[in-house]
Amino acid sequence: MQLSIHQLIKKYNSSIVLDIPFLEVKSGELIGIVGNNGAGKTTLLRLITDLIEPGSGEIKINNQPITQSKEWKKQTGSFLDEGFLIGFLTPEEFFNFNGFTYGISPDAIEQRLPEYTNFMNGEVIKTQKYLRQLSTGNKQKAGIIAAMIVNPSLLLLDEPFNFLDPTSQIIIKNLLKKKNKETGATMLISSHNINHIADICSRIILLEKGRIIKDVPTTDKQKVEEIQNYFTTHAE
Amino acid sequence: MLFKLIDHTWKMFRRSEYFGRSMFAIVLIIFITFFIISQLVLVGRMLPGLLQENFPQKSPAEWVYGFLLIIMLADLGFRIGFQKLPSKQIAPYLHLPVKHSLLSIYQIIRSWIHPFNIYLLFFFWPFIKLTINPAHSSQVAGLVGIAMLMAINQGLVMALKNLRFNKKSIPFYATAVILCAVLLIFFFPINWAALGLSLFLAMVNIKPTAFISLTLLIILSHVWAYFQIKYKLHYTLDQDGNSLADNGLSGWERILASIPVFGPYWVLEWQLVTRNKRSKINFWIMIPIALALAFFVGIRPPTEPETFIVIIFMIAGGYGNLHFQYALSWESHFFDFLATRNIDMKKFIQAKFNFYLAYSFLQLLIVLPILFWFNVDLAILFTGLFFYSTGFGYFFYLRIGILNPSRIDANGSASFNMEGITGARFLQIFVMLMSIFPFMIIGLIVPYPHLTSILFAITGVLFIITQNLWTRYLAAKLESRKYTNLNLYREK
Repeated sequence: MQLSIHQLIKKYNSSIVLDIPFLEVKSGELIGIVGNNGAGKTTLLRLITDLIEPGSGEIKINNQPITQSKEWKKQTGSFLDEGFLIGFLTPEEFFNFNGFTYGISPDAIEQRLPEYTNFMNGEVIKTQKYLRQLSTGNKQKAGIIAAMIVNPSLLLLDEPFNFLDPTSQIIIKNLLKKKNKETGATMLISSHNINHIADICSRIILLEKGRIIKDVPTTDKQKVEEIQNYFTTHAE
Repeated sequence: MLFKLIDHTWKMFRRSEYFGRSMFAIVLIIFITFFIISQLVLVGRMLPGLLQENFPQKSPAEWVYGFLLIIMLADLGFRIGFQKLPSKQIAPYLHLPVKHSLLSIYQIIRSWIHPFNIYLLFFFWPFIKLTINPAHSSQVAGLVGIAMLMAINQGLVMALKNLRFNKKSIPFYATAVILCAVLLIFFFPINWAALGLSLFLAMVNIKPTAFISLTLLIILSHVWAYFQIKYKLHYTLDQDGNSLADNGLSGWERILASIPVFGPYWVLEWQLVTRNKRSKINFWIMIPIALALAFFVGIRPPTEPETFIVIIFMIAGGYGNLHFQYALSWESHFFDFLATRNIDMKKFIQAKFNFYLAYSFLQLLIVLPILFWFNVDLAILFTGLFFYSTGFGYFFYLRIGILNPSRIDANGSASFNMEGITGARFLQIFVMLMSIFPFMIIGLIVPYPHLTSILFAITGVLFIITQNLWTRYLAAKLESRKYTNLNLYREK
């Protein structure tokens, strides 16, 4: 799926939190969004998922403004934060309901789940627990699986590596790469971890105070290094 | 899809954390529910007789049905203030391919499942049974009519609570609405009593025009609510960004912080109380309640002030009397922080004690002149109970609070929130109430003017002036209990 952003501005209490004149994401790209806290990463993902209203500007998915048609939702999977989990469902019920909204049967969901067995590490399903009773890391896993299990053409994940143990971080990195290769899905992943992003993404966007200040392909090692240096310089 | 969502409503109810809570909380919820229902039924049954006896110039039916529209207006105001709508519970569905129109309908259906949509029926049903003659009119139609009026209010409250406007303009809109209402009443005087009565008569006489009008109004209010909800679905999440707090301390907080010794603790206490929904609600209404009590008791014919002793006792201790019933539970969500910092627990407890003492003293200063004006005996009793409640009472609650590991969210829902309610807590309030009776008995046995009040005051003042001693004792107890409480907080 192709995504484009035109003259997008989002304000809170008259201060601009996001200002993107133009951004294009080609079909099948795996893009990493990096930036310090408050850079606007989550706001951008929430705007793309049409969860908040832009002050001005437009976001198009497959050349259709997202506010005009909701067709894109059937091809988009997302997990932005814990607030998107339905706490009183078990993970199995949640996956099934999530699948149902995309027109996927519970049987199909059950068939797809083994792909995530390693990632779940025996702690997510068949635990006789509701989502709200899982640990923060396992809630994160449930949210990521729900977003990925529907095999979306556009996948949006906000800080997917947060709260995960090192093994799970590696597993999810490999899963994302594999899915991107196999299905050709467009993926937007935000993270503070520049190394993980550089490992899996084909392009990195650096946001700072709501503006894109760098947009580089990961094939250009020098430019990736520039992004890493950007954070180092800010830390000094 | 709608059925799936409705099924989620059932699951959410059945799997609610209340069911995992203590048996006492469940029994208490059931008891309170039955108590409220029985009270409403009782009022409905007794009111006709009472009205007939005290105001024989008009029939009870004329009185109550004449007030029908006012009752409904009050119901609407009550709903606007207290009825919680499930807008936040829709958030997890927003990113899924579920139509917003469907979510709006679901939200309307969910909003309907609320006790506010039935409570008036428990009053009206016995009242209608006693005041409407089934030989000439339909009692059921009367009740259906009342239910329809409540349905209009339900639609209106959903629409009004989902209106999208800047919070800063609320005073402007409120003033405009009040002005319009005053102008309307002034230029187009309406006989509300006659209108309410005619409406009710039309309902019990099953006049089609009445029911058609009510049905239309229900549809209109719900359609309005539907569009408001649909329009606001985006805004549900937008509010997260808009609720940015101002940076730094306010002017008042800076003044508090500058007070030596207790300043920083008082700022923390102030922020804890005023920035959290549950702790905030009683903080602002306690002084108005005390004022209302002063007027209510004051304007009554002279009686023994002891008649009201339990009510006075509950109010004389001010906001602290309510707050300390959950002593040290308010901090449960950040107790790890407190426990790992270099905080002098004695100072922490003492600051807490003096903060609420000062606030209650302010309440005393405001209420006392009114009480003195109306009834000197009452003013003396109030003062005695102020000292007892803030001295011994605060000590008692703090001491129990140290043993109390219940975890409550200070920012949780302010009304109908059973979090932190346990049998032990109920018992502690009961013991506290019982503790005043020995003083009253001494006052009855020994014929000395105001002895009860004097004894209350002496006991209280003793605790206030010896606070250095007992706060040290409480701090030591808290330190030794810290690990147990922290473990229990985590488990919960």
